[in-house]
Amino acid sequence: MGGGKMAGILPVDTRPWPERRDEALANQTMRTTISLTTRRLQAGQLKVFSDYPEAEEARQRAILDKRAAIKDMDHLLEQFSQAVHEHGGHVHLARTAPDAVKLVRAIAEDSKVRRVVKTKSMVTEEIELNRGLIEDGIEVLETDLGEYIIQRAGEKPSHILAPAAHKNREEVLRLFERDASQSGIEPPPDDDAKTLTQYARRRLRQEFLRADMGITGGNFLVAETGSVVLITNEGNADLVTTLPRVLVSVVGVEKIIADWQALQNIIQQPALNGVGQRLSSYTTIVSGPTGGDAAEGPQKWHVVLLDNGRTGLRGTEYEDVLSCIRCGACLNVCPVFRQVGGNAYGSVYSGPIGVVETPLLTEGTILAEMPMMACTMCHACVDACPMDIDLPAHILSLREENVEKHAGSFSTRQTYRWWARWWATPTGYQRSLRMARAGQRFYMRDGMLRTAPGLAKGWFQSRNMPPVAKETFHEWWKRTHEEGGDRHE
Amino acid sequence: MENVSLFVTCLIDAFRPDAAKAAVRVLERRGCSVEFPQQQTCCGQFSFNAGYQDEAALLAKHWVEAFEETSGPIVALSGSCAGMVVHSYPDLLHKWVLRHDGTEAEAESWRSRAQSVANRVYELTQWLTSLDSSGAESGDIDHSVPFVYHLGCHMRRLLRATTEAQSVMAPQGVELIEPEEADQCCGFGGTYSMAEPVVSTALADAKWKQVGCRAQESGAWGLVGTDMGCLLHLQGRASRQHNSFPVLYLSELLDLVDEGRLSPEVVNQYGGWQDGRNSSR
Amino acid sequence: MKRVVIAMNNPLVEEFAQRWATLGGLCYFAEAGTDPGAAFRQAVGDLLGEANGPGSALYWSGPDWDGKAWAEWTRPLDSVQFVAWDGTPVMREVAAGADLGITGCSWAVAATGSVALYHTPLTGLLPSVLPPAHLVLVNHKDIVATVADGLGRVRGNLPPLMKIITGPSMTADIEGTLVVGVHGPGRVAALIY
Ligand code: SF4
Repeated sequence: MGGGKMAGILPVDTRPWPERRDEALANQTMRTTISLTTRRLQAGQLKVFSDYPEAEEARQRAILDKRAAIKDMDHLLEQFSQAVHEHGGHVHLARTAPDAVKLVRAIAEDSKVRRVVKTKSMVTEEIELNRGLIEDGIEVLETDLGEYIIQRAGEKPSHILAPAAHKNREEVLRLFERDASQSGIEPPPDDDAKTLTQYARRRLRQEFLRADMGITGGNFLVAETGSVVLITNEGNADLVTTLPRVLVSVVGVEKIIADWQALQNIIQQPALNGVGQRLSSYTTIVSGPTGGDAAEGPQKWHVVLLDNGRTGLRGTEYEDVLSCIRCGACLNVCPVFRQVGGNAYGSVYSGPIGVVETPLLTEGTILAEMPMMACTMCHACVDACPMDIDLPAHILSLREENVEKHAGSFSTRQTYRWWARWWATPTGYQRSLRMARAGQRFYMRDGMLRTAPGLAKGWFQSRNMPPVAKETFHEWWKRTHEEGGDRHE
Repeated sequence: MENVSLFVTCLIDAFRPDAAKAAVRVLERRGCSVEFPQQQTCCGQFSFNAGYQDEAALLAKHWVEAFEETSGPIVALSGSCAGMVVHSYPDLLHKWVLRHDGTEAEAESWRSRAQSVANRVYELTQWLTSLDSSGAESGDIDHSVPFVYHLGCHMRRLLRATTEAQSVMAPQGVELIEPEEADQCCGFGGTYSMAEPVVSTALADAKWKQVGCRAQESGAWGLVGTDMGCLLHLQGRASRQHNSFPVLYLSELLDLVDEGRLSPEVVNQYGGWQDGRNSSR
Repeated sequence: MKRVVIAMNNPLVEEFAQRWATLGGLCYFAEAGTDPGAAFRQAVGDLLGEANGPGSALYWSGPDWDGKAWAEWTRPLDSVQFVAWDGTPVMREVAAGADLGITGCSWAVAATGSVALYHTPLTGLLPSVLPPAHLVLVNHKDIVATVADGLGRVRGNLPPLMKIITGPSMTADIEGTLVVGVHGPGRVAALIY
């Protein structure tokens, strides 16, 4: 399919980063839940690999498969389309997000769809599909419990795997009470997690049975067999793929893998790394419609393959980003993510992969500052990533691009230049320290630096600093070790 | 007698020279003859992590030239700066040459120059554990003095030096205990601490919370680290909050043990920053 | 609730049973050559729960047992109404109203404690997901070591829909609390024969 490369279009929270950040840091519920959830998931990942050596072997093979599939993407997508077609399904390619939405709206119109049920899918968040369908007067319901909660709240997911991690039980109860009165059913009697879940089961059950169209994402596309593989724990994907008469799977082109063998290698990785299970509760494999008068399965099946800036990464230093299996492991270990949660990132893709992917897919037109603002360069993400995506290296490269392009004010740039030039010679370095020492008394109180101008200003918002020593180590060494020096001070 | 070259790092040179002086004594006591290449300045990691690759390359080149003059092991007083040299220099310089219209051969030559110096780099505790004798014995150890240990992210993940500090200190009668969630970054991140002070500080506070818990459980005398960047950030935060829990660089602690001066009173002098802290000796 | 009987002297069976139980599933065994009726009735009774009184179960017969055997197994359970899956659209409502779904499986995986079901007109997937409880009948010969081994079996004759079930339906979406029985069954049992 290839052809001309095109920047993708992603939704963005246009408020500046400090505003998003401060809102997140002020949300104690979110911070507590995100911290618990990420720790639990990280521990799960470590534990499940510890007594399951086959999982690590499969991971190594899966990385090779996936890298090769990205290289061979054009051909494999062709093969995939053909196979789906042979089974009676339809494949559409969407270059950008609006193209994809247009395609799905047309399918819905064609099939006179009134009600849609959905599984959790990052891609449909990426293209803001729900908005388009709702504009056409179609009722769209998210059926993943977390997604259902935040859809009721009109919010965005805060974690790939735990979308409602920023909501506590009382908030969920209030949302469900309102929902119950609107749909004329019994509200949940209390805010126990079990009771709330039971309410959602009851409420959504009727919607599953009367929906005309199901929409899913997809964890993998198998080129050889023309299959879409879906992995969930709740079982909603099973209902979405078996009950409505029309099924639409919207999947990023990078989800392609070559064949059944590759599926065998990779199929357990999302669960192993995402939730620390050997396999999620439900793995659903769709390879075609089941026909007209069957009790279950779609009569019509459409697959919408979304590019939206992805193929533009092929052949660049960022190509490995396309291997991402959206397991969320990099989010779980990221110290910044653990503090601010997903919403602060301003994009549907958050955490380390999000700060890399969002500007890359959009050719740097949105959220270009995030690689600087949301990364301490601790390297935890690359250690956790099952696909060995070199996230810190990409974050560094994006920072570099950012510096080259525009950001970094003139004075910041000059500071870094000046700093490097002076410090690249021993005399310049030592002179600059002497100057700092001479000037620092203006910034001191009780023997400590309390403030400073320029770059260092941010430090002193919340921290002190000792002054430059009366005698640096360089000076001490020179005094004590050079000829005539006093070795013993 | 092993000849080693000391890489003190700019932060220790300027803000905590005592840590480097302690390192010299510690090394000499263990039979090393210490050289200090006076051409050295800074490894350039600040610029590198901020995206200023040309500036970082300038400092990296200078660093390589300064240490090429030496032979034998280079002992670095920072896991992070050692990580920078070992992990990032070869590619950084290779790319830099190409970006400035150098030939592939020139780029390769810089890469291999960087690589061969990098191969001689050890972080202090890595070097100490590689020595045959663990140095001055402190007699029979019937009980250990507990300290909370902060292992920096680059030492953990770029150098994979996760147990060295404990191996160095245990025979000296000091137990280093990591806090809960030890793998979580303290929030320093070089220029990150200045570019995004809010998150950086939230992380420092989270780290202090865990350090505090661990200290309380174990009765730890202080916090010890092997990266001055993290320690300045953590102690800088503590100081702003009037928390005077002692913070020591590992060489300082080891030196106190060597000299038989390890006592709560002495360790407490490392808490809070007072005027003249830098010239306590 | 967990009932694991290590039997059949077959490491794959044991591993499967163990993992299935770890996931919160019940396990029942009918020794080869014996009548599985007793184990079957025990499983149905446990899943429906005596307190719940009479219930309805939707089932489909696998190739391993014929209608006669089925009638024999179920006769003593006269408080339970058994409905056979016939692949017609009305089955959707039946499945949604049933208290228990009973299915076979095409293969099961020891390493993960999973069972795989294929959609065909006569073997539906809905009985495994719509009712609040699911009983899966597993022929011990169909237990393979790994997921890859299982998937290897289906290569080349892929049904339009298939699923691999690994434990009950669950979520941790509300404050990270684990809850079973979201959209699929919260109670699952395997009868190995
Ligand atoms: S980048 Fe790696 S760790 Fe992060 S979601 Fe993707 S696959 Fe998982």
